[in-house]
Amino acid sequence: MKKINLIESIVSFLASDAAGDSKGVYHPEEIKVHLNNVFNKAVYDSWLNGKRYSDFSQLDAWSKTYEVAIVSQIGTKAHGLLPFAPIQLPNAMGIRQVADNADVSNVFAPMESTADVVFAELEVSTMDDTPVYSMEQNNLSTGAGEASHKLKFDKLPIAPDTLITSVDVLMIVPLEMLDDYDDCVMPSGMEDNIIQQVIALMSKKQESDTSNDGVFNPQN
Amino acid sequence: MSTISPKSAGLVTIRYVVMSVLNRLGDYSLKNFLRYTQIAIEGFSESLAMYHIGAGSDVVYLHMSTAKTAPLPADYVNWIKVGYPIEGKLKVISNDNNILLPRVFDDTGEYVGPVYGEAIGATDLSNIIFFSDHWRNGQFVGGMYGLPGGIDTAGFRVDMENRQLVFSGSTPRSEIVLEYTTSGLKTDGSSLIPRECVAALRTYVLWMKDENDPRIAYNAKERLKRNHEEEIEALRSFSNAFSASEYLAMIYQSSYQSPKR
Repeated sequence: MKKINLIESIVSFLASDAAGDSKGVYHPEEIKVHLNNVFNKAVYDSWLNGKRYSDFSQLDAWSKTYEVAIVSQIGTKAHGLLPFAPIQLPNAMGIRQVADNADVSNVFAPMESTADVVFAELEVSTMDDTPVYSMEQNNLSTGAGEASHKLKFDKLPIAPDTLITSVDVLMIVPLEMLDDYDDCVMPSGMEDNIIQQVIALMSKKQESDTSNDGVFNPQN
Repeated sequence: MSTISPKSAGLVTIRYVVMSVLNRLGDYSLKNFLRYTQIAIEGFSESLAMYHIGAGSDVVYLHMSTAKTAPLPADYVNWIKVGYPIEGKLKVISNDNNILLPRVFDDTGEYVGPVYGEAIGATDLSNIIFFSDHWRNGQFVGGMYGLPGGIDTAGFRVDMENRQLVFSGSTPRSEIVLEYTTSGLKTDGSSLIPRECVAALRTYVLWMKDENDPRIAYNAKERLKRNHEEEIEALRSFSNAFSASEYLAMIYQSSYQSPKR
């Protein structure tokens, strides 16, 4: 299903009599905001499900490879700018994998931004030559339209070894990054779930506060 | 024939073991790779190599200095044998913990150098008191009573403070053979570990990754520990196995052929 199909489904429902008191014409951009939020929640639920059963293949259909150039390499260290802010998931799973563009079997190992001081003292830093990366916000170029996040690399090969000039970053694509006519691949049955959640979010009436305790709390 | 159609390698890398662990866990990413790799390195160098298999032993030929000392290798953990080569065999010498460790002090008691023979400023030489045994610069110095005891004519002592071996008595040559326990892994990561260690190392990583996690139930940790201990037992049985020919050699060494009476 394309992204526009999801939006139009919601727009047409809300314009119909089935919407009841919420019936009206809503701007598609307003629907997109709610759709993005619901989508992120669906991604998190899929991750949680994957964690429970050690099966993250459910995230594959939402993931896409972006080629990121490695810039400013000094010694074994360098950085690269991400095309967009990754979806924030535990264990940094918003970025599924980082691999050498020229050799996809050469996969980089992720590292927490503050873990370098620990690993630097341990044998793994010298005995293992797997390139590592960590992610943080971009402090080099800020402003509208600039890349918001960057990857920091370490243990990159240096001359005379073959240099790595770019990496393939497999990222979960947020819904807001999709064009209206891009295919929005979802796990089977998820489309209906997302549409219903957005409709519920937009048409749900707040429950009345039935308690005369002077405190505004609809749950009373 | 294994040379024509090789089977899977008898030696594997630490990386192989970590990938095997990730496969057991169904974790097909490198999110925990660095953590598990470090645990595997520690498991091999601090447990398996040191206590359970012979792969952690190494041999080095050292040259004894005129001060009768020899530097320990950087990866030295503990000695297995110390001796010198005689006609293709190792003549071991005894550990003698009464050998005086050489230190150099001036007459005010101030420490000026680690060993006799180390470069010392000429102005300090007049004040120096030497502590050494009967040999100085390769020459026997008489006038002292008694020689260091032991079953051999030569003895050694490990000077851990200065990471050196100190010798006493007479050895026919300055070439010293040291067999010692090492960490078992080279610092450049090129070390290969025996295939029989893989199962024990894998259970070690699976155990240690959960050992310090307060969310894991105590009985689950105990089970992981027991799994590891079973693999260690299997590994020790394998490593220490007595071959049939060794057994027969032991039996026959007490048999003698003699004329029938």
